[in-house]
Amino acid sequence: MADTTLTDVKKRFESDGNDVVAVDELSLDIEDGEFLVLVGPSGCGKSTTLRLIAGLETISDGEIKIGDDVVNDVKPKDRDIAMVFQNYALYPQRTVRGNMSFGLKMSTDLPDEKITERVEDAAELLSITDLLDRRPKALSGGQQQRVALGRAIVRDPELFLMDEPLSNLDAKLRTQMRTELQELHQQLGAATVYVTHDQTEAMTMGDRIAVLDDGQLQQIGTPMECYYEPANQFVAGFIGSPSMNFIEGVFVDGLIHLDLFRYPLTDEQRAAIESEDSNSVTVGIRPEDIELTDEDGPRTVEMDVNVVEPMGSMNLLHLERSGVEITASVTGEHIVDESDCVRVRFPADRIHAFDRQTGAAVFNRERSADRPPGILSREEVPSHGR
Amino acid sequence: MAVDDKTDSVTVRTRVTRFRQSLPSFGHADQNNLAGLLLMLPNFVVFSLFLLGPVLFALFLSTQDWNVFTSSGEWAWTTLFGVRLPIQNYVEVLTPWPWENNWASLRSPSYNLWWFALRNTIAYVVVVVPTQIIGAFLLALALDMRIRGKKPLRAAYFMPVMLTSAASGVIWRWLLANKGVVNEFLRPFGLANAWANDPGTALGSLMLIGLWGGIGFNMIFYLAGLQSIPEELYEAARIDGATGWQRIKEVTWPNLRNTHFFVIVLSIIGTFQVFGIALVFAKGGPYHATTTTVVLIYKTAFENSSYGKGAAMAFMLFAIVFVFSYYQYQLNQQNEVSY
Amino acid sequence: MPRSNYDYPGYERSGTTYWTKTTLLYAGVIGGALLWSLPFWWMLATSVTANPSAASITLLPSNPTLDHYEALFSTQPIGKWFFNTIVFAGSVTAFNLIFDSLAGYALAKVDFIGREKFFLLFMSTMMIPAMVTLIPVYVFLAKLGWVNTYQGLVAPMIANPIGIFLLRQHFKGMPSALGDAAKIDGCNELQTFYKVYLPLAKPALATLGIYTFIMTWNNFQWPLIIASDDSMYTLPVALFSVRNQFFTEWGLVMAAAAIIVMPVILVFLSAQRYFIRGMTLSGVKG
Repeated sequence: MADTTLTDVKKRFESDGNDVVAVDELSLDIEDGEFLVLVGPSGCGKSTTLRLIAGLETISDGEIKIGDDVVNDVKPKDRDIAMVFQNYALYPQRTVRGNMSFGLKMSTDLPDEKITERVEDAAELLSITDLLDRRPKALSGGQQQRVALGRAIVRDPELFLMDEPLSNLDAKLRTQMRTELQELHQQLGAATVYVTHDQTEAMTMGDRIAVLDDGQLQQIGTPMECYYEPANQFVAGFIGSPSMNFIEGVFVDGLIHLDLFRYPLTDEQRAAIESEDSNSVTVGIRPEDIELTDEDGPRTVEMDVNVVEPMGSMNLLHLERSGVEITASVTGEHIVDESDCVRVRFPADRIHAFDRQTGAAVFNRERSADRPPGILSREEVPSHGR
Repeated sequence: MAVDDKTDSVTVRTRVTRFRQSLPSFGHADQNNLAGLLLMLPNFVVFSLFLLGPVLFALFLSTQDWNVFTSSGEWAWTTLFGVRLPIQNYVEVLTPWPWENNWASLRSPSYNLWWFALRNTIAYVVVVVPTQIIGAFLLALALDMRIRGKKPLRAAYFMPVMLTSAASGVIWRWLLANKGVVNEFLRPFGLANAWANDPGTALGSLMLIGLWGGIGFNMIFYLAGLQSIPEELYEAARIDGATGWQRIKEVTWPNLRNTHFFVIVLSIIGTFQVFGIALVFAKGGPYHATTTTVVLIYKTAFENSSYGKGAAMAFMLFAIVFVFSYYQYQLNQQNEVSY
Repeated sequence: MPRSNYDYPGYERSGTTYWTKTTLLYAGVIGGALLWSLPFWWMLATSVTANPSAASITLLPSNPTLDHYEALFSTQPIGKWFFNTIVFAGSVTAFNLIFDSLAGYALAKVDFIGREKFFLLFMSTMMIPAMVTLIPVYVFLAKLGWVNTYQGLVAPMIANPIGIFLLRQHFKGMPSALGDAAKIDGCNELQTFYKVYLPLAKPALATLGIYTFIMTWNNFQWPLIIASDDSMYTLPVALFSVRNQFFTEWGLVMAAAAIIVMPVILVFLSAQRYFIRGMTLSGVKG
């Protein structure tokens, strides 16, 4: 087994006489056994990318390799892949067993007993053995989801492709299936490409995340990298919920002039900006990094509270001053009124800056290498040893 | 731009097809083309032989004096404004022009049958189309309400639609005969008449038969149209204080715009081609009172073996139907803008 | 007013206005329905009355007789006409189901060159009045020697834009992910069609089948043109000919009418749903 690689893959569609590039010069390396999430807003090209890998669309340019073979012109059934669709795409006229065995019957020469064995193994793995003789119509959404997974698993492919497989489930079931999918992935060990528009799903499930926008790869990295070290403003805004605040400013004399106030920089931050050509920057800070404080200081500013959204564990404050609106997320146990005025601090080590023209990150927030208190090694906890 | 993702994928994929042509060959696309064309082939053959080809052949026929026994024709030349053209058939059908005999050809069949038949047909269309559409709309409203026995009632109105025109014609010929049932009811009031044998009432009787079959047919479309109006619109109207009549006027009627258009165009195309009931009911008579355009075409081509002339007439009918339907289409488009 | 919930505060379910309205509505609708079905009853009543004249027919014939039916069967080749009609309607339906499901699927689910143009071309033929094509088709079939033959009767009716339209809409409504899944499972285009999509189209095929069968059964114009003697008549043409022969014997003519009408009515009543769906979907009466 080996990696799947996409090299300069391009996909053009024609729309009203114009070429529209759905996927633009995309290069990806899907490592053996990893869980890669393709994430982005709708229309960003993530589903097209998945369909290109599956062989459901022909690529316009570039090269796709699965294992050691270039598969540009290889039919889907010969690519050693399996796919789980958003609406499951189960064959309504076949039973669960029929759905799961159909692919093996069509694409392999396996004898019937062997096929039955594999279907039953997969069914057991997904605990849907007692559903095998039912038709999809008689199944709940969650059960259909499992059958769709089962159909992919029996193929024993090198690569699993999943196209928003959880988006039709209700919130509770989705959370449960998220965990189950990950466990399944660990058991099976085959590489998985997973498409979603939901950044929470991307963060929680992916070994690595590939963020796409407008057909182009914005960043590929672990969830933590994407969160703490976004490559550009798009990734910064897309990953994390609620979204990062962006305030436009100009860098003059070691300070960033924002409409709110003049924000002083640390030496390293200053050095990063000075090495750039332009001094127009966008400052970014996540709502959860904004602090309420009594002390006045160079990094604090007073703002009016417009709206308070209580979320239980936290309050989401919508703040405004001189036309700049930001959100701050603060602890939920205190009462904040909508007529209040608050003083907030933007901690120096929590801010990001982006080039206003290109959107590229100039510097990112610091990330502590320290481990939080309360983490003990297992030997230190006697009762754990059992 | 939203090119990717499920919702767009259908439309996008149709565009892909055209796009692929401009690219160096792709196995994938070639296979699709082959499969698609192969699947279309059987229909393409029968359509070419029996619908598309014949339209062209009809155009050719309409310029010929065709002899069906020898399967050959001669060009039917005529000279019009000093130009020699193969339109003798058209000229023969259309002349004398109705204004040349003070419009008498619209009143009497003895001058020019084409114009007389066209008059009959247009009279039939003008009476039957609006009547059956309004009737069907009202009937659909009534049968869409909460009343008992909807299903058998709907079936009763729909049953005549299931009849072959030959049966409708024969049954009504008997009902409206001199000694028929209708007269039996009307005699006490002194209204008995030989409906089918009186040139003054034969066309009217034909309209009645047309309505008998047409109302149920159009009712079905209105029922389907009514089902597709969301209940919330009525509820919103009720909260706004609209009365029952206002709800019909403000919600039902405008929301059936597409159904109206559809039903009108279908009715026009259908009634202009009225044939079976006219032929069976009174064989086009008496004194050509029920000779509609298609009956005339049938008799010209298949009873008198004037295939060229018949084809010329058929083409002119095609043009008339097309103009009427296109006018409706334009009207529908305009309404669409003003909403 | 239409189709609304009437169970709301302030809606009067009693009082003179309510009852007047309700009575008028029912009287109108039921009266109309009786008027609409009366011709059928009269047809049946006439066909079982010995010497029918308006005065002698009552709503319930007092001495029903099957004489007219017997006379009809003994003097006319009714069996042959039945057979002709069934061959005609049956083979037109069979060809339509096969050809149209192929084309309907291709137009809905296969990307091929000129797909939209094909579709428009096929659909535009719905506008053409039948007479425009029937004359040249007759001339053409006369040259082939197909006049007064089964193949002449059937062949031109196979080209049916309605069926293509109906099945194309149906296939279009099925998720294209099913086809994608089938490709990944190893099907080629044809296998995707008959292993995955075609079994799902059974209801639509039933609709189209019943609709086409009845419409062809009822077709009067084309059999009238192409059949030149009573060995090739279908029932509607035969009825026309019977009426011309037995002009004054209405009992016999009505018996012939009943023989054509009753099977259709029976089929319709048992498969009404399919037929009406076929009609509303296709929107065209044959």
